[in-house]
Amino acid sequence: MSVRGAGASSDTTRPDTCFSISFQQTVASKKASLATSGDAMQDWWNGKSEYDSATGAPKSKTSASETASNNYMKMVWKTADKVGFGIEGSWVVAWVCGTTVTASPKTDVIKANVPAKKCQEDTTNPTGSFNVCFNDMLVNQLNTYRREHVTDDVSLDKTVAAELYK
Amino acid sequence: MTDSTAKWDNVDSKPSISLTDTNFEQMWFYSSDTTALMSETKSVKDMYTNGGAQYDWATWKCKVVGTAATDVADAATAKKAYDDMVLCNQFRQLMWTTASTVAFAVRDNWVVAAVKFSSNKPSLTAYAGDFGTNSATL
Repeated sequence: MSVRGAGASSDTTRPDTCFSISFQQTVASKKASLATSGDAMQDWWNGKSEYDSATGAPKSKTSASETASNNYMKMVWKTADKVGFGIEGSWVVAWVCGTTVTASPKTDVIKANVPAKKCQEDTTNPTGSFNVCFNDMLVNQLNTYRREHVTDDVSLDKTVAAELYK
Repeated sequence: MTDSTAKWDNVDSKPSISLTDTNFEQMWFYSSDTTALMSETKSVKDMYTNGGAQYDWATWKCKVVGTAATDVADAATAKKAYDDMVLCNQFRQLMWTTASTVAFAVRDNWVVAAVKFSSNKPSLTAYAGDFGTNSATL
């Protein structure tokens, strides 16, 4: 089991223009792989399901929903241009920094900095249109798993994607 | 929200895609929630989590192997064994070492995936075979 939380203990030197995101691995057998597993990034990304893009707020007022939504928000913040990661004990901590980062941003600021994801057709592909971001999303997820098993990445076949999309 | 209909399947009602190259394998993931199909990685995650659970890393075989037809007590058990076999097979195909390219699309309520193998494509009938040399290793 993993736990999202307020973060590891040493957060006092963090600049005001940086968000902090943290992930704790509480399973003893998995702590050794904390630096290589990608679990933290996946956990933060999974917060997408708790973010309401229409309102810029978490989908519910539970602590778990708010934490998950905030993690996702910080990961995709539009103007963030610097990031750093560290491991402290059982925690993975990331600082995400940018000029418009502020503590506890209001929902209108969040909406402006967490742009809606646009899945759209690639009409420039010579062998036919296909949904670019849908394929990118699934290929990236598949390659994440393949890398965990030290297996080479697969690449997107645009010709076949277009054939499937017809 | 849990989508109880979401699953890898191989039923006859799946969309048929014409790919004549024999190095391809196709697979289909069904969900009644098409919005979720388009916006989430549910299909690939299901392949890895639930398909992987049906794969035995000790023997490099699908766990359902060894369930002889005569051992199946009833239709429900047989259906479960079939479903587990489909799941395991998606896992094998998408994680196979020589898988080189992949493409996805949503058609109606289905995610359609096509995987191309550079060589040594996993045989759909070789569930009991030793495919260790091309299985990704932990």
